[in-house]
Amino acid sequence: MAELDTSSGGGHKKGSGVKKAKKLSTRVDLTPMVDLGFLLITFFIFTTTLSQPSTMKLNMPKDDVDPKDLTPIKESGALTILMGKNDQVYYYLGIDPNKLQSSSYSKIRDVILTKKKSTPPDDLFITIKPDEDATYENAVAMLDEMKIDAIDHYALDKPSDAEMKDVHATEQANGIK
Amino acid sequence: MTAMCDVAFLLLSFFILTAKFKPAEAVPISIPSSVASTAALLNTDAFIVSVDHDGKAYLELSDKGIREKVLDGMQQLKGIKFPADVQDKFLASEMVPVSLDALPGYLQLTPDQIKKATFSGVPLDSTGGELKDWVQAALFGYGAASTDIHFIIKGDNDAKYPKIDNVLVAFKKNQIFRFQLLTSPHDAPEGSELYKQILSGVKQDN
Repeated sequence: MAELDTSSGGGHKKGSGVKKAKKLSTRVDLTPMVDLGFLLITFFIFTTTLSQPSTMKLNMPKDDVDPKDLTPIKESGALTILMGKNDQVYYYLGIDPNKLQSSSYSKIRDVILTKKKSTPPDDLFITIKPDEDATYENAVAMLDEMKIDAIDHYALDKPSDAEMKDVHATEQANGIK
Repeated sequence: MTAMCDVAFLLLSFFILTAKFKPAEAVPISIPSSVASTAALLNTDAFIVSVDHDGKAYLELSDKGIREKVLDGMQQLKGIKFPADVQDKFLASEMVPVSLDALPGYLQLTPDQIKKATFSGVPLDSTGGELKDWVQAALFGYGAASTDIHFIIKGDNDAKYPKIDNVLVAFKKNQIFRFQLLTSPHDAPEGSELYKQILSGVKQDN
């Protein structure tokens, strides 16, 4: 299949005496290309590592800590992030939940980074509070955000009643169902 | 030339037939992605709690070794002893999708029935529910080697956070504070702090 029969020219007699240029074959031998193709396939078959599931580590603190053992968080370095339904993110600086501001998963990074720049590293503390309508994906995304922004001190907690009231009020004001 | 093609197709067929497929999941769960992912060891001693998008919890034990120990632990804990055929079926089953009472019934189902049925999950509430007992059984069954167990949470993206919190409570009540969340790996976004850290060679303690 890869060879062309060029011997037909040899059957002519040397009768004409005119020298003709030998007809060169226009067929290309494709065997080496096929060889390379199979070599490549075999190479990739042997070197493929099948995708393995991967995990993210999570360490939680003990629940039953003595209140006197807790180190107090500085109000100036505190940032609380609340997550609500429909992928809504709210945050407030300091300890007053009435100053709640809306944000989104894309904009929260700027908020965190601005806070990080303006606070000494020992004072910075971020609290993540997913409410009852936040999804697991939201929580993992926020934990991821901590890693992406290289935040060392953060905590996962339940929102307080005052915070929940503020979140619900904001949701109603913004018409989010 | 034709002979070589034949050999090539034979090789291809061989690799296709010997490729192992992902075990068919009884419960479809889509996991979130994370930049903090590292390769997981799911082959042995993995105690996986799967939470589907309705918030139902299922227990998946990776292999026979851990299943034996959990079964022993559970029987000792509750002071009950399952009949021998129930025990054998438990050791061969992949997951626990029902409460302890309904477990012998579930184990009698054939694989076809399992595919078609929907389950209510392991009972879970804000105090940990029956999941807490399973964790305790695992710790009991392993005894001194309980640090070998990998506790892993495989949550669905749309599961509401309070349900995941209940799973965390079940772990915390058993004094387990280190566990892993199953996530798919994700690259650090360009220009972020983590990206700069990785470029400058700072070791990430995952």
